[in-house]
Amino acid sequence: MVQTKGSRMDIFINSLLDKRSALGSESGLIASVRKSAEQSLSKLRSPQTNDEEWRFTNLKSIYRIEFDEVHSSDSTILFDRTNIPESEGAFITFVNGVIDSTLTDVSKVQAKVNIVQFSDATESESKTITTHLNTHMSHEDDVFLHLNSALLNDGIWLDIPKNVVLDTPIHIRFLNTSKATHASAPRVLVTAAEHSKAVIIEESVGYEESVYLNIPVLEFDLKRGAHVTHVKIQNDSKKAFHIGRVGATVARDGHYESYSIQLGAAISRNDVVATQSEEQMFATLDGLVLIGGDQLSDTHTLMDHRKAFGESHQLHKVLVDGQATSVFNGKIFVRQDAQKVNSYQENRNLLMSNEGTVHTKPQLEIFADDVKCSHGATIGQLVPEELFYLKSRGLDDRSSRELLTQAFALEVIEHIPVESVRDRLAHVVSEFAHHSVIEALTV
Amino acid sequence: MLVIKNLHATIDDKPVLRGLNLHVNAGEVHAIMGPNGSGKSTLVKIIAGHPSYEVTDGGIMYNGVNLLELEPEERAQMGVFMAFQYPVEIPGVSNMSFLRQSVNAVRKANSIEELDPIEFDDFVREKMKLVEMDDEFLHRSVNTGFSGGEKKRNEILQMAVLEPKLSLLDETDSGLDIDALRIVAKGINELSNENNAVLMVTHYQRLLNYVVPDKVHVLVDGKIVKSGGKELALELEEKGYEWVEENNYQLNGSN
Repeated sequence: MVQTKGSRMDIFINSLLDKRSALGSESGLIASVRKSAEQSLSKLRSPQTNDEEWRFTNLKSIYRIEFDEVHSSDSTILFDRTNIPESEGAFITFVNGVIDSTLTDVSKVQAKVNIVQFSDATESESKTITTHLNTHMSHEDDVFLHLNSALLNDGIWLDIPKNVVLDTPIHIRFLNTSKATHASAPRVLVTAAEHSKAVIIEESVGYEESVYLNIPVLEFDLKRGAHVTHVKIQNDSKKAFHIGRVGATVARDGHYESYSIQLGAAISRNDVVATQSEEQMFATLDGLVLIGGDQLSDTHTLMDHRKAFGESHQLHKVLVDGQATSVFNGKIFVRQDAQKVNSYQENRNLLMSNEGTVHTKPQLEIFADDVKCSHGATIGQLVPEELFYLKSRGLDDRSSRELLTQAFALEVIEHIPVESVRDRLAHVVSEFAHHSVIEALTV
Repeated sequence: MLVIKNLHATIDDKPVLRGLNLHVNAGEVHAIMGPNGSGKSTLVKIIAGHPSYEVTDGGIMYNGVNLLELEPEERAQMGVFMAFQYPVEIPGVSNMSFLRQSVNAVRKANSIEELDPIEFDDFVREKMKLVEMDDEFLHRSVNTGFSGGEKKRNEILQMAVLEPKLSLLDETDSGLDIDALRIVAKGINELSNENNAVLMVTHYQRLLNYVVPDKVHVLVDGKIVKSGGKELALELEEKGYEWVEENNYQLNGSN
């Protein structure tokens, strides 16, 4: 028998599909989402390193996993409530990919937001959800997007009505606590109607030794004048794999701010896509990656300006310690109709060790002739002149290095509009800076 | 306080100072003037301990201590302060927290009790009046998004809180409008007393109208070629640097 390229991937997909839990009914929303995803998957080939989008991220260690289960319902093992990140306002928790009602409390926003669990959706709600799913991503041939749909166990639809301004953030937590090697495919859809405003925090957490594949997908639809801030914190177990997808469509006067913070996982891949669907909008696609050891973190972003008068900003900062590898591919498309677009992208990488690797590729494709676009990418170490400045103020070498390392990362965090999240992340940053500086100085 | 003898220094093996001598006593204000590239900024950076320069001959004694053997932070802890020509931006770190860290690092090194945030708050507010800054300044990230004038005022604020014995001001007047120049100069004047000394590097005579030096030195080609009182600065302003450069050339030629 001749093995074709990607066959291991197909075995991988099939083994996951086989381990899905059966559904009560073959006719509901979830069944139909699964069915159409299976059809899409049957036409797709697995990503390999000879695919342009996956050049530096080899998934063979994922393909080799023998999964025990998909969406483990065993939430008791390795379950330590003290490890659950502090909840922010209203919260919804998936444990091993399954919505856990005991760790969910949306009472603070219930009166203002329509929250629908996919498994409880009425026929008309199902119809609306179906019209949105996968449409806010540009990757129709994205295996992991369809894998998420094919493995769908349940999802959440947050429907924020017209003119509703939420002063409480909604915190969506993806906890992975099972000892069993498992896959989780949580799914969230956020529709923000005209002139609504919300902050959504997405946070993945796993327990130190657990091996799992986490493939969360979040989609956002911003109608005219809607303002959505999305903070993604990926803090999966250092032995886990994270392949996440974020997609947003932004209409006229819409304002989408995305912050992706990558901290955990052995291999993580995060794709963020924002699409400008009407004239005049604003988007931020910021990122912060803190990795060390043998971690690999890959971020692919696409800012797709399809109409005129759009503005987008992107600051993607990466701290690489140990033998870790960072990959960044930042696409900005300015299509022919997108005149007067103003877009900039900045990627800065700070190497904390001698063995780290950084791959960075800004990719601007501009088809309109009257636009302002800029980009820059740097890879470097702490700047001696800056260190000298701090030392000349009496700070010792270690404190100076720590402070500059922190400052490098804080530039991304300081714009996050939720103070408790900012404080929590600032703490993570200062720990990371402390350890990596001590390591660098003792080498 | 500061005795520099026959100082020779290089950067990337290129000589930048070639036998510089300077004597600064407590209570004095010295101005170093000279054309671009003469080594003025280099001199103050070497005194503060900038890592890019190598001292190949001569020495710097500060209150009886060989400065060249000390790390930059040790010099700062002993009361050497340098106001930068291009202060560094530190995003995400508030001015308040940075000032407190600096002050406490210096206090700790001198076995003086560190200031807690409340004590420091009172302390820094008093100093802020000196540079006419408002509170908002303390909560912004260090130098981030500051205008040129704000950065220079922030340097003087740091000088005020660190209370140095020897202040090195590297082109602190450059890029300042007349109001900012007046504020900065007022700060320097109020901070100088009989126990400390100021060494300021400037290209123009302008700053010296506000901060009147006891001595003016002209640096050409890595050496002090002329020293005098404050009237020397005026003479330079009038005749230009060619005047001393010619003198220097004649001196060298007669050697």
